[in-house]
Amino acid sequence: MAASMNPKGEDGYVVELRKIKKEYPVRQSLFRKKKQGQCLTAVNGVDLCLKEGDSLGIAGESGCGKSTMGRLLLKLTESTEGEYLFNGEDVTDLRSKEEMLKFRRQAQLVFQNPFEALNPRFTVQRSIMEPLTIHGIGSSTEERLGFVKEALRKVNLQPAESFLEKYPHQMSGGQLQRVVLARALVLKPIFLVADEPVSMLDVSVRAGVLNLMKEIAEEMRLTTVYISHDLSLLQYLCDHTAIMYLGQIVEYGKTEDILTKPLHPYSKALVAAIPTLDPSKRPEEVPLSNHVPSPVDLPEGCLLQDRCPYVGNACRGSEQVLTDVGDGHLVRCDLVCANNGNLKFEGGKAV
Amino acid sequence: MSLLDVRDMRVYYKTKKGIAQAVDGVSFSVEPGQSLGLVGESGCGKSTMVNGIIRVMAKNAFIPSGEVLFDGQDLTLLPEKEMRNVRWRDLSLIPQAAMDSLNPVYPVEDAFTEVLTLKGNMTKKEAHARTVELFTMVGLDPDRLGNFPHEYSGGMKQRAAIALALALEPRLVIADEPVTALDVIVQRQVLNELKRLRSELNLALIMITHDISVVAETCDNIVVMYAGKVVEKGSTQEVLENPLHPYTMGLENAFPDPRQQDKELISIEGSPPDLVNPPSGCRFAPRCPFAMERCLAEEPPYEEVDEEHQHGAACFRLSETLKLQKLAKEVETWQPA
Amino acid sequence: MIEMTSILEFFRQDKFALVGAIIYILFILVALFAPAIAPYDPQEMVRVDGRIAFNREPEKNFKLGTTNMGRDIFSQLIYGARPALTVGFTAALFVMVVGTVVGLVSGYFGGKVDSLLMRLTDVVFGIPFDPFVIVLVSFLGPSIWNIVLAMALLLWRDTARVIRSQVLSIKKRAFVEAARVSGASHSRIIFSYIMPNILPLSLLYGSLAIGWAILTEAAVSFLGFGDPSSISWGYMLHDAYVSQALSRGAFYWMLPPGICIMLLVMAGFYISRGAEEVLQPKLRSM
Ligand SMILES: Nc1ncnc2c1ncn2[C@@H]1O[C@H](COP(=O)(O)OP(=O)(O)OP(=O)(O)O)[C@@H](O)[C@H]1O
Ligand SMILES: Nc1ncnc2c1ncn2[C@@H]1O[C@H](COP(=O)(O)OP(=O)(O)OP(=O)(O)O)[C@@H](O)[C@H]1O
Ligand code: SF4
Ligand SMILES: [Mg+2]
Ligand SMILES: [Mg+2]
Repeated sequence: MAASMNPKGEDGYVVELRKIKKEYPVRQSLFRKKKQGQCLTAVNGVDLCLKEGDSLGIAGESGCGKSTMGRLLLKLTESTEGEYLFNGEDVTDLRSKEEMLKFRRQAQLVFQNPFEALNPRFTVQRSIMEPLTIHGIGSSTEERLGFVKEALRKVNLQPAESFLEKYPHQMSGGQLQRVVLARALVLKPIFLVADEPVSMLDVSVRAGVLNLMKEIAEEMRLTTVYISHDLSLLQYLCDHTAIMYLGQIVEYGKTEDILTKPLHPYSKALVAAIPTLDPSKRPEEVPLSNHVPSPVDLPEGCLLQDRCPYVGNACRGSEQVLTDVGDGHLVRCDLVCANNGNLKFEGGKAV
Repeated sequence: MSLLDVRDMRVYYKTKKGIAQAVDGVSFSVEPGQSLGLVGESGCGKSTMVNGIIRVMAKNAFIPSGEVLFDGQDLTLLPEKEMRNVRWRDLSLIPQAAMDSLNPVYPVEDAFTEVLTLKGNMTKKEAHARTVELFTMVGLDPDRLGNFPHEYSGGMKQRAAIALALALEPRLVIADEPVTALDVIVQRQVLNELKRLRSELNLALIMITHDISVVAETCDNIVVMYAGKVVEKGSTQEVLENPLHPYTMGLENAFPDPRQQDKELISIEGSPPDLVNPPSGCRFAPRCPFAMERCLAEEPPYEEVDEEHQHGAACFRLSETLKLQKLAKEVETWQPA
Repeated sequence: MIEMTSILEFFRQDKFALVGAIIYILFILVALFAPAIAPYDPQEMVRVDGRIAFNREPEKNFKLGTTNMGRDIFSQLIYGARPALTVGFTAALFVMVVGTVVGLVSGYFGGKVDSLLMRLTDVVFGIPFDPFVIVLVSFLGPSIWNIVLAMALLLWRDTARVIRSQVLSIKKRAFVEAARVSGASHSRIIFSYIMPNILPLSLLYGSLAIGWAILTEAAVSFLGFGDPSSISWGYMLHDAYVSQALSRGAFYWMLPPGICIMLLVMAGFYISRGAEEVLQPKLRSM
């Protein structure tokens, strides 16, 4: 996909993943004998290029490797194959502490569960100051305190002074998530990953946090990756969206395109399944069979073959590659590409 | 007779600052096979209430008054020993953040074996077979039974917790945010599975969720809570299409809908009241754009407006609903004065 | 996760645990002020009217009578709290420190280190405790410090396992990951993020080990492998037993040390019983 996402091999990307793969070894199962040396493939050869200010959404099936992608992007876990370039520098293997610290300073994470993301024994001040202390930013405590207050103001926790001495259990989820955001921003990073940033928050608070994240990302020209199964959120926050299935990106394009005219059979099913306040207006469903996909025994060819209503012999034989069907809309399905995206499903049969 | 009848239930917390009235006089009922959605802002007492019903409460929580009639039997009076027999077998709880509730030191299957053998009197072999069945039901690969919780993704852990709650086919399942970590397809699958159990086993369901669209698609009735009180309840469709309470109107505004691309999200400004010293009048009044003087002084009683849909709310301005609904759609209404 | 304040709260709520704690405190006071409380030196052969008072029954001067060597049993009982608590506390300290370090390292670093340490723990679990102590003491000589050493070598195993599982669950919590994202070093994560959250737990396990250690010391001394230079309750029992106190009906000699041991062990048990409910609620509460 690097070929199609970065066709001319341009530089100037903040994040560039080349055929990144993450495998976990499978332990001998208790009940069934497994072949030796089998692996669970959590992320299966992903290419990705993000420029400054880009915002990418990642959605997909539960367990398809979204969080693992996020962890790889932040180097919280090591890839088993592939290359990772950050700001043009190869960060695939960071051996020295200094290099790692430099990377940590620029790439930050917003967590899913704000109730868990802050040390319960730290005050807000200490939590936000911690990264500054670690990186030796600011020459005195006062100077650091200034940065902390600035960060708090940025996330609309005002007056900042009244929050400094609070402990996490004294704040609401929305406030906590703002503190988490402030902690991520205090280092002035250039890259931010948010893994399900508002799923634990109440709808009425959600809107506020989402608006804030969007504003800040634009203002600071942050490169952002939002991971969420909530497509409405991605639509709100992201220019582009990637849909993942079993560790692969199966579709990539402008968020709007993906939501309004999804092409890949899996994306179609996903978009059709979005619940609405008015169930009668739901588009016709794409029936995926309930076969439980396993990241351990990956089939040859298209990974969706056991569940896809359009499946044909071609899908089973050859590996599908991401192909541009026009307008930077990439799909990993030969059948879709051959039909220029016009796959229809009527009355239980593919047309 | 209702399967569950909660009457004027109160659950308070003893805190350093005083008594926090986290659930304050909540009433609702659930029929066999029915599903009820419980919605409301973070901190409004949803978890506190369901934890009170099943009596797995924080140490500093207590139930000063109220009845929880399950099959006619008041659970609040049941000795702990008998309560243990009721849990899992008759009613079970999928706790909030269930994905963090699995013990990290044991393989996921161990939790199932424990419940099935100890509470369900199964042999180890039967328990294993049942676990495989449950795993398949929620779309998990039974090959992964022997894995530890940290080897599961967030959504996989959540599904395991759901499967665990269904292990002994209880009559009532209380699910506290059960699908927050699931993608919409799996979410559908799990919700459909719950639906099937509802019709096949006459299972009743109470579901707490932030996601009103999930309620819209799965629940027959809805209860909207604000700061420990029921502000509105009724059949789901009625409540969503014809909200009576200003808070419910605000809630719908803040809900993003991917099929309405240009919908502007309006959040309700301000924060919920202090539960130790709640405002004397309507608890929503300090944030309500339609509050009158009376709202600040007196507490609005709950009134049923539509008998057919058992739809009612606690608000003094119920007679002006249409006008308020119109105003509530405008951004200016919700901006602080 | 267990908070320090919740430990206080726990003693307030669990009356048995409170009783346990009070028993500990009483015995500590007795041990500290033994010279003031005991009327005689425990090793002294007390003379009455110039003659050694052998085998006296309880009377005004000898509240619990005297031994066959003419030593005051009450004084021995009071002084006996010293070796009991010394062994108890030092052994508990070792158990706590070794167990916590092993559990922490194993749980935090995982992988090969973890497998290695846990394999080692399994091996240690396989060693029968009492025979091991006796063998070690007979090799190194009868001294309470060797008894402490024997316990330090074995008893950390329970603590290590529990701490490891606690570390595993704390390590998985998002705030620890958050510290990593901020660039915190391993030592920073261990000391500011994990330690404060497991310390209360290791303290509780330490308090459990006290009872175990006292019982072991008593058993070893009773079997005659004890330290003859310090009068412990186990030693008293041994003394009484070999001089056939029981056949003479000298219950006043055998019962008091037995009761003291029982009280301390029970105190540990009460605390641990309540602690287990607090620490491992798991499914039991459901
Ligand atoms: N430490 C681990 N050891 C073994 N397998 C793992 C580990 N972490 C993740 N996996 C597996 O990798 C796959 C991808 O997991 P990941 O957490 O990335 O999914 P996800 O897309 O974030 O799912 P969700 O939406 O449910 O959070 C899953 O099958 C998961 O079980
Ligand atoms: N153990 C406790 N002691 C004191 N107050 C508590 C305790 N647990 C919860 N509360 C408070 O009680 C109120 C209700 O909390 P509860 O967890 O029931 O809310 P909720 O509606 O489930 O919110 P959410 O949607 O965020 O889960 C909150 O204000 C909370 O701060
Ligand atoms: S009673 Fe008054 S304050 Fe409360 S919701 Fe109705 S209008 Fe608003
Ligand atoms: Mg995830
Ligand atoms: Mg809750």
